[in-house]
Formats: sequence, C-alpha cells, structure tokens
Amino acid sequence: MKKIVYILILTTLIACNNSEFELCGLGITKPYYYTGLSYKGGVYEIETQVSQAFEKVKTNSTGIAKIRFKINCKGNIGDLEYEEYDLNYMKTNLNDSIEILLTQSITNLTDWIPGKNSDNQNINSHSFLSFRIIEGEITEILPK
Amino acid sequence: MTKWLKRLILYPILLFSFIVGVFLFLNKDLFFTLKGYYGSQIQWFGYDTKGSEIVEESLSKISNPSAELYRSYSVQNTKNGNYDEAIKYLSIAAKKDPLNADGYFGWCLLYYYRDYKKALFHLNRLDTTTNFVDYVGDDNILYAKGLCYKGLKNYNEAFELFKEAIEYERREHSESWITHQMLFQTGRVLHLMKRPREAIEYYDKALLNWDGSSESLYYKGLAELELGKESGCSNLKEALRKVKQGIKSTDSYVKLFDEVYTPQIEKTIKLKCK
Repeated sequence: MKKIVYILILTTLIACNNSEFELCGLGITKPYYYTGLSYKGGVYEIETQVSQAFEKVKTNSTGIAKIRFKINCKGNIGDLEYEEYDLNYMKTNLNDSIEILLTQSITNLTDWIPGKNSDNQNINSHSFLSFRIIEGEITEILPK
Repeated sequence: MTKWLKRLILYPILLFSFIVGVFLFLNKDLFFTLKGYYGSQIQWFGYDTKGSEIVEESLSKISNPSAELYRSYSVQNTKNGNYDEAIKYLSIAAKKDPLNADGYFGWCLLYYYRDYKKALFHLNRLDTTTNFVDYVGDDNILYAKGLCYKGLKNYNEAFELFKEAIEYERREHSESWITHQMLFQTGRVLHLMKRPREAIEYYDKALLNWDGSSESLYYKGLAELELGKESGCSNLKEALRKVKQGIKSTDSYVKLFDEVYTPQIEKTIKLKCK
C-alpha cells in the first residue's frame, strides 16, 4: 500500500512537472559548464532551500542522491531523472521519502538563469545536482 | 564542370573514405575506441543511457583496453554525474596502471566527489611511489592532500601540508608558483583552528597575490569581527560589492572549497553589521 501511494505521488509530481515543460528550438541541450547555466544565488541558495525542506525527512539513510534535469531557454526546469548510490558509488535504493522530497525541492527551484550560446542567446542546458547524505543529513551538494 | 568537380573533390573524398573504412575494418580496436569516444560525445549532449551503452559495448570489444582509455571514458561520466560508471572505469584504470591513474583519480575524488578518504588513499599512494612532488590537476599534490585533511577536519595535518606545499614552490620554483588558493586555504585552516590573527595574515597574502580573491576578503572580514575590529564590516561589504560584479574564485564545472556567494555575504552582513 505504502509503495502504491509513493508511486502515485511520484507520478503526479513528474506529470505536473512535464506538463508545462518544453525545450526550445530543436530540443538540443548542452551541458551546464558549456552554456554557463546558473542559479540566482548559486549553490548556496540551492543548499538553503533544499536543506530547509530536507529537515522534514525522517531518515538515517546514508548515500548519494542525484537528480539530472534540463533547463530550457526560458529558465524552466523539467525532464527530471532520479538515481541513488551508496558511498561506494553502486546504485542503490535509499529511503523513498528522500526521492519525493528532493524531486519536489528541485522542481520548486524557479530562479534559474538560462545558459547562453556564443551569440548571447538563451539556450537549453542539462545539469544535475547530487546530494551526499550521511545518516539522514545532507553534507554536500555538488557540482555547483 | 561537374566532371571536374567529381574528379577533383568527390573521387578523392570517396577514395579517402574507402581507405579509412578498410583500415577501421582491419583494425577493430581502433574502430571501437572511436566508437567509444562517439558514445562519450553523445553523453556530452545529455544522452547518458545511450552513450553509456555505446562506451560499455566498445570497451567489451577492445582487446585489453589501456588504463588511459578507461580514464578518458570516465571523464564525461564524472561530468554528467554518472558516478557508478565513472568510478568503475577509474578503479579499473588505477588497478591497471596506478602510477598514471592515481593522480587524476585522487584529484577527481577530491574536487568532484568530495570523498576525502578515498582521495587521500590515491594521492598518498602516488606520493609515496614517486620521489618527487607530483602535480594533480593543476595542484601541487601536497596542497591537494592538505585539502583532503581539511575536509576530514584534521586541520593540523592540513596546515602542515599547505605550509610544506608553499615552501616547496618558493624553494624549487618561485613565488609566482604559489597560488592565491594555496594562501587562502592556509588562512582557512588557521581560521578553523581558531587562530584568526594568523588567518588574516594569510588572507592578506592571498589578496596581495590576487586582489580578486573576494573569498579572502570575506573571511578576513569575519576574522576581524571575531577579533572585535570594526574594519570587519567594511571588508564584508567590499567583498559583497566585488562578488556582485562576479569578481571571485570560481570554476565552470564544480564549486570551489569555501567559495562565497552573494546571499551568503548579505546574510552575514545583516547578522553581524549595523
């Protein structure tokens, strides 16, 4: 039953997220370090927002949660993909509530500054955020 | 006209393509190596699953792939956050050729994974294998090891290594080889060891090395406030002004150690200054 509720919540989240999201132009994305995609206030601001929300998760899990996503030329986020690793970098499953909360937190980040091409036009980018979680606490958010 | 166009351009291209085709058909290892790089390129465009499949398949078809090939296929995986693939390839590279793989592996684990224990293992192994001071990424290995100890909160060991790295550069090269990051990080560990006066000395040295080191200015301001000096707030405000203009240490790929951000400085000023 718990699993079904979890899948329903996650499906709703992804569905809501995808319904409004559209990549610009031909839909080609380039990596964040190439386009210069950034977040207003940098990773400090992301850390502040996600850590506040993460306090609600009651878990003592240890591992790395990673969310890959795309940011279109308008600064909208979409196409989230979630993965979890243990500290030996093998794929694993952490607490389900971590996935729900992190996916929600990342979806709620609205201040993306889109990447640009050499003509200074806004373009699509892809990026990821990884969260090193030690005994239920986020100790590091990477890459930037 | 068309006839000459064919003779001069089309036929040479066809001949060249045929020769390359035959060469690749005969040299399967080269073909799959190139195919693997194609997979990496696809990953660059964000097609991780497909790219990984191509890389994986290519590696399985190459007879005895080199450590360098594993290392190079790991790079895009690290940049895309495919940690399982990246670490798998780097581990194989380090097993095959530790001398050439340990430096990159350790540096990667330090900066891209913040996995200080594992980074230290590889950096130490390299450092004890060679009888000279290595460079990993752009870093003096002693400095990189110092960063690992700092991450592990062993500030004494970090301080000793930072001092050793700075002294080595001064002795073996010149003052210009000492980077502002080396000086800034030495200041940071002194600061974390609750020695703000000495920390300020190093923050000043970092600023003298590069006046764009706004992180040094920010932490200098904090250290001054700890010592009850009023100049602390003006340094925090100056750091804010500079960071707002984009003047600070930063990297395109990964956040730096103790990198500073506008809202962070604004929050500190609001909290500590009138």
